[in-house]
Amino acid sequence: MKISIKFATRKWSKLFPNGIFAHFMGNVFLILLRFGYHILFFLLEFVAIYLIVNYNQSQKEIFINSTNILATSVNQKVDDLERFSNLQQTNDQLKLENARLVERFIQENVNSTAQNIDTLLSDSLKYELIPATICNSTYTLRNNNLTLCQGSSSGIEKDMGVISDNGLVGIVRNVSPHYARVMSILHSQSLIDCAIKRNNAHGTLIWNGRNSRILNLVDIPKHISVLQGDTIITSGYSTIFPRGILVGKIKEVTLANGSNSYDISVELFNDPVTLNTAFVVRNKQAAEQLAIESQTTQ
Amino acid sequence: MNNTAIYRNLVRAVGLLLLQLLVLIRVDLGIGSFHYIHFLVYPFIILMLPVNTPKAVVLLASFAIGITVDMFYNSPGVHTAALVVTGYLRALILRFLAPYEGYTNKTSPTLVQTGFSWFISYTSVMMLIHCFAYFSFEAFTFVYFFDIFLNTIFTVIPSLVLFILLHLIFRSKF
Repeated sequence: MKISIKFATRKWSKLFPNGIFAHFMGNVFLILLRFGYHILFFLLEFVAIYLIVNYNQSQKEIFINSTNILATSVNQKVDDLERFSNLQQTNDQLKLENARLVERFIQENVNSTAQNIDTLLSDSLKYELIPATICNSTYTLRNNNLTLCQGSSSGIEKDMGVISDNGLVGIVRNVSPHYARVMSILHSQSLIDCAIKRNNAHGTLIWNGRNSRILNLVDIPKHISVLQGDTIITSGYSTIFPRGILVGKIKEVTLANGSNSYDISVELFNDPVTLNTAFVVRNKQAAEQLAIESQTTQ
Repeated sequence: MNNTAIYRNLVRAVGLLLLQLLVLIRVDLGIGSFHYIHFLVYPFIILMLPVNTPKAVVLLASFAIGITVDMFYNSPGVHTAALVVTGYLRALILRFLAPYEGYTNKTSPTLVQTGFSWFISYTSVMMLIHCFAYFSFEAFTFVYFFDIFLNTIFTVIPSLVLFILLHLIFRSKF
């Protein structure tokens, strides 16, 4: 082969005198001489397969089918990848959407007759929900706290309520630009005004520090009928939580000897231990309400 | 390749093509669901070309013969694709089977010139390649691999026997 290439070089260099172009053409001829057989094979095979695919019905169908399957599977892989890379964005979007839905629910509970709730403008709503992610929390101590990954830059302020989609979480105590510290309902100083949904009897929800799913409802006088399984909701008697958020159901009712009020244990609907997303409730009329209340008490 | 060789190969090509396209195309040895026996003798045109035929000529001849056969079998490209593969691999197989002292200038891989055992191994390997390629291109998918396999086996053997018989009948001095 070496001899033939040398010979060929000599032969073609005579045909193509000096210069880059001549050199290039000589190389092309050498490549053809060396690999022309294989190139010819692939050329002829390509023509034959082209004929097979184009002029035979069954082979044509198989070819189209196979290429379709290949293309579809590749497309699907790309789609999956794209969807995966957009997961965070989708998640944020869903959280926002959830917040809007819960907002509508709250609004319906608060005043279903006073306002036209059909409007989609959230300006007309009294309560606005800010979706937030819980990035740190304790639940084994006597006084538990949570940290939210959103702060005053997202609109969170001190003394706002924090709820999840099926229960209470806590109350905001401290805010920095990007974080908020929340006092959990599993805290010795947490006192939340709640009501029995059936007869609207008011009491205070406290935590006695034992079981993270069980809280206690106190201050309900003994003349009110309280049944096991009654639903507990927030009463809306403060600026923190709106009325009608589901909290839990009564698990056990006891009346101590000589006591004037029931001792009620409430089983929560949500599990504060496993939460990772929450909504901060922003009451747009809170300042107004607090101002008029402080004026009158003076 | 001298003129005698060209003449002899041309006559062989025409004869085998006529046999294939006028007679063997009508032969159907299927019994019930057993329909695997076919006779393919046209690849022997390529197989019997002299050893020192230029490789490009072998490929072009394969293509031309394949197209001709396809015209009669009404299956554009199937025989062509298989025969081009066979022609391409011919040089490789010949190199593997080369005798110790190498081929001479005049060697044709015929029964008379090479001896029975070499001839059988060469033709059976080449026919296996050709038939496997042909039935693969015909099915165009390896889903029916078992069918392709059976077709290959039951086509190689009768084709080989038929060709050897013809070869012995039309034997020349060389």
